[in-house]
Amino acid sequence: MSAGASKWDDLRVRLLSAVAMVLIGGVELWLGGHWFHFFVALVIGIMLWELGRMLSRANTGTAWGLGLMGGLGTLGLSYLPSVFLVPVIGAIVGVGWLVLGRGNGRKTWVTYASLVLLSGFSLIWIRDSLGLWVLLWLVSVVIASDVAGYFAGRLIGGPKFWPRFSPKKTWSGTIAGWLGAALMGYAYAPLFKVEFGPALGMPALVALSVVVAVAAQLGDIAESAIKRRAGVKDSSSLIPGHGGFLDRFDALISASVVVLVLGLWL
Amino acid sequence: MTRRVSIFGATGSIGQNTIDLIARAPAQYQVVALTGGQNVAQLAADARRLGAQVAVTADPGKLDSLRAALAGSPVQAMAGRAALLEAAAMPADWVMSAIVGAAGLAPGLIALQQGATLALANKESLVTAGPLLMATARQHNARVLPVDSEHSAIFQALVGEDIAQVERIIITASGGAFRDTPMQDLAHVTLAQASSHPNWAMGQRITIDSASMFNKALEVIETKEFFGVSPQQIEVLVHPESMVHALVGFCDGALMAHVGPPDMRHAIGYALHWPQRQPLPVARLDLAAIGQLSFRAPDLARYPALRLAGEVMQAGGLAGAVFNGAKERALDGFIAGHIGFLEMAVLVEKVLSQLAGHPELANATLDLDNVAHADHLARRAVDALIAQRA
Repeated sequence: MSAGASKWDDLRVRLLSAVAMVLIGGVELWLGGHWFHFFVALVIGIMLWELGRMLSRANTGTAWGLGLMGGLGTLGLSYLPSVFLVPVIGAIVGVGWLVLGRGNGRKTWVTYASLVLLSGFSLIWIRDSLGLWVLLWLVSVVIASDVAGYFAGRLIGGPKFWPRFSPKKTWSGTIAGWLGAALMGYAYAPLFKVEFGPALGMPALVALSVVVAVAAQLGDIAESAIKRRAGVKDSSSLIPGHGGFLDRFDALISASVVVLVLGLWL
Repeated sequence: MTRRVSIFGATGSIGQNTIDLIARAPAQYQVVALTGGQNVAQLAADARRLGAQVAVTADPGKLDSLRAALAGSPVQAMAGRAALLEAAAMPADWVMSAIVGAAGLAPGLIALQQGATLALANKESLVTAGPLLMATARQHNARVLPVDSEHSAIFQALVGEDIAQVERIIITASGGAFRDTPMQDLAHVTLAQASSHPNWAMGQRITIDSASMFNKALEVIETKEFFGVSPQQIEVLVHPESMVHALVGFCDGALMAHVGPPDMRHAIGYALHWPQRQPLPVARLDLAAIGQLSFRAPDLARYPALRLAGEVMQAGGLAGAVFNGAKERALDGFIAGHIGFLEMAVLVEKVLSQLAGHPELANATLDLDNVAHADHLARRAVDALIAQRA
């Protein structure tokens, strides 16, 4: 049994942290408005601090500065029209580029910090214009694809998905993630029919859920790749059992941007 | 003591008049939510001026321009239908429901569920889901106050009275733009002619609805739902001067008339200050100068909408939603130039009989989903009929 226990021993802490995150995040999501803007800004700030810390190695002052700028920038963007999006993100990313200096993964910083900041803008935009239910659906799809992937990967295992970037991801887990997302789309379909009318029916929502799951998985893999380059296991240890905020929300970062694009396009 | 107020449909004519009254005594009110549609600039300006907590545009694509218009103010910008419903759930003491169309029903229901007093200007709420709305109000100890001038007049004539002693309720109609147009010319009237009202300054759609008396038909149905009288007790009287808004006849033969100038701020102000009365900036009538008021019976051949209202009340259930949806779509058709003025009623009548025995509507419970579905089916049926003609 000891082998089995070691296979599952991180599950308890992981679950407790997950419950705490669902509670805090759920209340913020539900409250919306200024509360949610501030909450997202805080999380984005922490993420940029984590990213800055991984890239600048020991230089904590740099990471703090980048995190603070990221949080304030996200908060500002939540009250500004979208013409400010590119200048604000450009300014923050540009300052990071300058202070990080050569050899510190500046290209990684530019792409990933832009993505993280864009996702903060997206999450707030989705909450304020598409509403609570669309955001809950997005979070549910990301969680479902992650949980289904986690268990299928551990129970079934099998061939690796993309070992070069993410040594633990398996094909079975990836496909189970799509199925989990599809199931979530199916579950949300009646609600969306009330909100958006017959235009967004069940088959369309199931398909969109799988698209979002693919985006989530790619986001997950991208973050893994950054950690491998930086030579760290977790982005930080702020969330017991999960590592850092980037580790936990990597999938949501890319998925939220995809949902914003879909929302503006549909 | 300040009252928390929200205004749904703040940029329309009822909403703007409500804002006008509130802005005259800003210290008495704390504005929670203002909502509007495409006119984001007006919405933002009013939200800033009144210090609203949130401003919501119903169009999710307008969040960007609303944020821009509100930049630098503490007003929270939100957009889309979900945001509209969220704003309705924010605690408020008094909520003005002045969104035009079937979209006004859901926010009103949510406001009632919070126990708010709902000032109802949205006609569709009572026409499509009257029993549901009134039951929701009773269940949550909330009150609905009428804002249409006719229903406010009836409501005021009934103060201190027992509805059981009411024999009949008479609502007046100006007769609209074509009250004196010869019948044979009605089929060929133009959109511009239908869009000008002799007495009231209102939006284009409701002005056309006045000319066809579809508006009066909706008001008859609203009267039945709100006051709980039988269809036979409701009469319509053409009264070109629009000074007497309604009359209530009692079992002893007494007739109480409500007389006032055609200014919607009276009914809005009455609902805002109810149960008190407060001075309102409306004109005072000089009856000696007016000299005389005239009344005549409506010609049912000229106004088939009134006959259809009777049939809808008799049928009950989702017939109101079908009637309203078909009327809206037929009105779209007239505005777009696809059908003539008189054809609107012909199409609505056809759709009412087509959908009367529809398996998905007959015996369906009266809830938001089914109301939306009935509306959808009615509009589709009108589209099909218009396409057939072409």
